[in-house]
Amino acid sequence: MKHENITSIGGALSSLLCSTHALYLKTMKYKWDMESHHFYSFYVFFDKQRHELFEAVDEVAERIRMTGAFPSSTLCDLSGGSLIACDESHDKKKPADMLAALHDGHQVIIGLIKYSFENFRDCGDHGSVGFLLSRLAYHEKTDWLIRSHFEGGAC
Amino acid sequence: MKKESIVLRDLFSSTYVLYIKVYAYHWNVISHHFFEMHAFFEKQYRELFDAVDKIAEQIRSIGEFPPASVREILEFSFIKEGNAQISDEEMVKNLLSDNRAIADHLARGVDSITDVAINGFVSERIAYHQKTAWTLQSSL
Repeated sequence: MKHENITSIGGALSSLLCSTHALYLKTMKYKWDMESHHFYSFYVFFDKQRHELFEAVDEVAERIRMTGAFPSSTLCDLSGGSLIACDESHDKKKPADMLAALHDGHQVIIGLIKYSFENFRDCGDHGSVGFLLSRLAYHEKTDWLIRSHFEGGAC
Repeated sequence: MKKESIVLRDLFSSTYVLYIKVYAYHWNVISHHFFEMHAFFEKQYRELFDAVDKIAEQIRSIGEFPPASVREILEFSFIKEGNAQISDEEMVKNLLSDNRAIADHLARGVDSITDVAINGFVSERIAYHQKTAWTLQSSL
């Protein structure tokens, strides 16, 4: 699925929910799978993001309920509506590759929100538009934190 | 694959499926007792959020990796997903059935786990699901 196929603010919220869940699961996977000389630093870094994304999934779903719609409510539906694919690999991954994958995930959500703002800002649902922008600020900040690791050569 | 690896893998997957189900009930419930059910389900999904992490770390502590993708979770879970736009009573009945299923499944497997720490961990998960089943049963 691509964000260009989204045709309404409701579709944007639904895609945001599914993609946030996928990024949450991927962030947790890397927290668990990480093996590095800087293990504990990454463990704490990803654990903080895991908690933030966990709360975000709830906030997005509740925003969807406020609009009168029902959120994707099974793993099948959450997976089907996500712009971010699961990482099914079990081979040892370098920290830099994990950070790059999470960077890509945050960029996908940033792209989704910017696209939605440009196309649905005049839809009349000011609450949902404002909500999307609040999520944009979170993902831009977290993406900067992630980028600062590999731009600083820490991996 | 070692017996404890299979038990923990299936427990991880089933706990994740239950976690998403309770999450969805928390969002979707419409009831005269809305706030009570909303809060009741929130307590459970927060407990399951913590449990998913603890089970995954237990799996890592024996040198293996949790099946942290939707495809693997659905493959290894022994509880099923379902429609989440149902009455609050049906929600409670489904969660009661799922919590009992997890407790019973673990109870059948725990005796074959000889590692003391993992045996204790799985026993704690049995106690949690039995207690949650009791709180759900008492709500019906």
